[in-house]
Amino acid sequence: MSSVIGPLCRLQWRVLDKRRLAVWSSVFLATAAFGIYQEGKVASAEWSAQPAVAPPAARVAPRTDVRPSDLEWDWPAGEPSAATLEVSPLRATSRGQTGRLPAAYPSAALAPTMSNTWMLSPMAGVSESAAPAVFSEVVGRIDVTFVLVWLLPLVVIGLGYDLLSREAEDGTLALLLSQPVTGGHVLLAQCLVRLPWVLAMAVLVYLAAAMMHATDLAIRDATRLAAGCGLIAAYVLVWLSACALINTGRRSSAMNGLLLGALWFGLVALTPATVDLAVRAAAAHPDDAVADLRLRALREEHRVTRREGDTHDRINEVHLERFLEEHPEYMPLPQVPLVYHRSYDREINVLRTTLGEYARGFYLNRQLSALMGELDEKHRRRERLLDRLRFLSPATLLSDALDRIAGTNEGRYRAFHRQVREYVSQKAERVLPLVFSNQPVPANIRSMRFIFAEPSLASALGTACLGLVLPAVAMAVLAGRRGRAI
Amino acid sequence: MAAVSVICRIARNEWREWGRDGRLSVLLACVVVLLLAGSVGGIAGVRETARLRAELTATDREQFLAIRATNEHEATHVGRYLFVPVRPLSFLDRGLLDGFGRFMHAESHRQRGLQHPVSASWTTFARFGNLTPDALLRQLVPLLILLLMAGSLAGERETGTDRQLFAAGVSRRQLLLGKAAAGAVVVAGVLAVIAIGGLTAIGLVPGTETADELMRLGGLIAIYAVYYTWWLSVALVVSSRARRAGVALAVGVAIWIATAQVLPRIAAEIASEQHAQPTWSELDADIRRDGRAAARTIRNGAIVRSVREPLLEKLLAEHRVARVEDLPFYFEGVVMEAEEEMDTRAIRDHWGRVWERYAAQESAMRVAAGWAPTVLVGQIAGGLAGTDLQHTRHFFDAAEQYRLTLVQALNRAMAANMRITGSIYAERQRGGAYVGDEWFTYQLDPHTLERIPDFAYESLHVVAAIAARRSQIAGFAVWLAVAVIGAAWASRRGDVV
Repeated sequence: MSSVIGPLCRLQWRVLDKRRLAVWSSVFLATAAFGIYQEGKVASAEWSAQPAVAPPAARVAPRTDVRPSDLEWDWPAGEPSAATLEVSPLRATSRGQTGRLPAAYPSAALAPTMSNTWMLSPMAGVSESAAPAVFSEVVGRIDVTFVLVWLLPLVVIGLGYDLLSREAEDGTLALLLSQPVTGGHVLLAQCLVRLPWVLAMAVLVYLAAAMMHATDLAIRDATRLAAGCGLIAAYVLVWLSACALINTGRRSSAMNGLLLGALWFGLVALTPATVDLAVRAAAAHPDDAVADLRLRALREEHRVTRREGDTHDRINEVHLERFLEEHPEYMPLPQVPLVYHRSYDREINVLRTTLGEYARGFYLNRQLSALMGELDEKHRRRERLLDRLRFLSPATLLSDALDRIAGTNEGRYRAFHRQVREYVSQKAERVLPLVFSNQPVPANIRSMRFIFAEPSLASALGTACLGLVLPAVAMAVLAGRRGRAI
Repeated sequence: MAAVSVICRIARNEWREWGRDGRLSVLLACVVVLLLAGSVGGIAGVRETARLRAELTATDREQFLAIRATNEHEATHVGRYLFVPVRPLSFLDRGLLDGFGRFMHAESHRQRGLQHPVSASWTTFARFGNLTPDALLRQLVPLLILLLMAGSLAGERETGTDRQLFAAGVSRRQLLLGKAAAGAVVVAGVLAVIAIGGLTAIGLVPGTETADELMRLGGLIAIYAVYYTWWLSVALVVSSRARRAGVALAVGVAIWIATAQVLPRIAAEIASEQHAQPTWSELDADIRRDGRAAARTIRNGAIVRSVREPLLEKLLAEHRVARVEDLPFYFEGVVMEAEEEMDTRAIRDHWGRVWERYAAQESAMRVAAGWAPTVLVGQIAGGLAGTDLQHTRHFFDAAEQYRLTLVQALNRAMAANMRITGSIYAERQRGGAYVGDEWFTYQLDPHTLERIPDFAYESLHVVAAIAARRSQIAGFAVWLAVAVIGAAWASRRGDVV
């Protein structure tokens, strides 16, 4: 076998259309260079905008001596920092859903004792942080993932649409087949001549995007990069096998080009667009205007519980009484001395005022939670659908996998959102008994901070790899069989 | 007459050839199915959006009129939701519609622009394109033209049938025109789909200004006809210069990738970077800084509003009274009105710059794309469909004007309706300055809200929309002239066909 393939490869390399190779490579590399440069700049800006992680002691000065009944008590229990989704060191390789989904929540949203649930809405955050780059959003962006998923197959097709048909049209195929070689050997040699070049370009571009702007890559990132390279190689194999398979059909080069073009259009343009449409239709993103209006209705409903002549304090007091009826475990409230408060211009029971504020927030939050639970369910359904439909095309598989590696996939943002909410509710569980019993909040609770637990990628990347390798192998085997019959 | 008959015969032959190898049926079926699906889905989407917006506008009005346990100023923060109008032809060209938000929340001293864009709900796969009719019309149909036409002349040359044709007395120009006529029939079919879809949408979407929209539809058909003529010419030039059909196809697809796909993306990135917008948070902070906050200072722990004292002096003098409680209106309402004007100046100043930057981005995009036809057609078609930057800004300006009207009407109502006693004024003196916050506990008269007019938006006229796109139209005419001259030149070259 090798005695046949070796000389055939050398021969194919000599007759390879170098000008075509140079043109396609230049188009690919020039577009990729732009993508690397542009996306790298955006990613660098995101990295520099990230809050530096300071040691906990420097971020928060624990004050264990202050109680909720004291005026100095920094209501609402002093969340030390905002929750921020860390920008991955491999972020420059894919834009993914960056800018479309919230990647940070302000510290006020994390406080467990405020009417701040609306701040944790799946819709909140984006409008506060995203720069309105409307044109590039609508037209589409160029990052390395786009170049690899969208343009790379075209390069492979451009170089391989006439693997056998050109030989047949030039009359050299008959000459080759008069030697002790089969069509399968010729196809294999043609592929082997092109494969290293395309593979090297693709992997180089991917690694350049990852390395050029990232400052500190950990071992975990290196593993992910290696996985990314493997997936890209499998993707190249899929397209090269498709070229080989189509070429065994004894059609003209123009027809082969047309068929491969149609295949590219179907798998790289049509399928992702259809998946996008299907996901948006089947698990419709809630119309934000509807959600906003419902939110406003809830707030207004909450507000109209105020009776004529009621003051803000009176409303809080009513809510507190209701809350204490529902939670007798907090009764009786500790007796505290009255303190003069400048804003009220009189002596007040600070603990009761504080708890009244909390109780009012509690009932508003409870109403809002139903709405947000509904939104969350829609997002979960959307994620599940995306996870299933990515298998429809090698392009969606690779795109999704590269997003996951770059830490810009939708699932990571949604996981971040869910974990933040979980954190707030856990913190509330620990803080509230202390607040109601007028105890100072100990340092260990006060210095609690949100830490994001990265979801595992192994299973998703493994299935993506299988999803790419299997069709590549199947097509290659079929092309080999059909090639031998030529 | 004979020449026309020859051209028609060549066109028929070309169709027969496409039909024989199955190319025509497969490609045309693909395009027609996608276009029909996109159009049907698009029209249904536009109708559904129109229905939902009508419903939400009614809900918003209902909620606004139901405001009770608060005062007029807080009612301005409850505000009104103003929805971007639904244009029937937006199904044909989404323009910038999905990039900008779908509604504006009109409230006092805040302007967050158009909120919640559709693009926020896109999945990551939307980056590879979408199935909207505008994407199909601007990207897929040119690809169809290239796939059908790029190999036509090169194929004749490759197989040697061109020589037989010339021997039979067919001129090179007739051959070229015959091939072009075959492509023109496909284009005419696509334009018919646009016309039928457009007319259906105009008929089905409620509240449409029919005459204006019909003119817009006519413009869209015309611009797409010219656009496809450009692509036909390009395909014929490529085909006439290539040695083989395969090479012509590869070159044609490469031109398509560059012109219709890569260049617009690169241009958009460059334009967004060259004229970068501030983030929403930065914009909000700038407006706050330059609005009423610029006229406020803290004295003895209390906020002192420098606008109050000169205004109070002026009003006391005008009404010839000595004390604030003797004024025939509630003074704080007047202060709020004055402060709203300050905020509005800051809002309009900063938002004006935001829109100028968008306009600069649009213009930079054209330049960065080398006035590429796809970009030019996108901007012209967006203008005609009413989904471009100009229409968005027109709506924004009208909505912003309504925001001010709404807020000031409520502030004026508060000044007119609210009365407080002198003793309350005295009680509210803190830190050496009167705070003026007694309106917190005041409740509005529900009839006040009913007197506030609803937002009525009159859209930009088609003539203004076209006039704003004259440079793009001129640029595109140049491209067309170049392509047609190129095709004519190619047909004359003896060594070509």
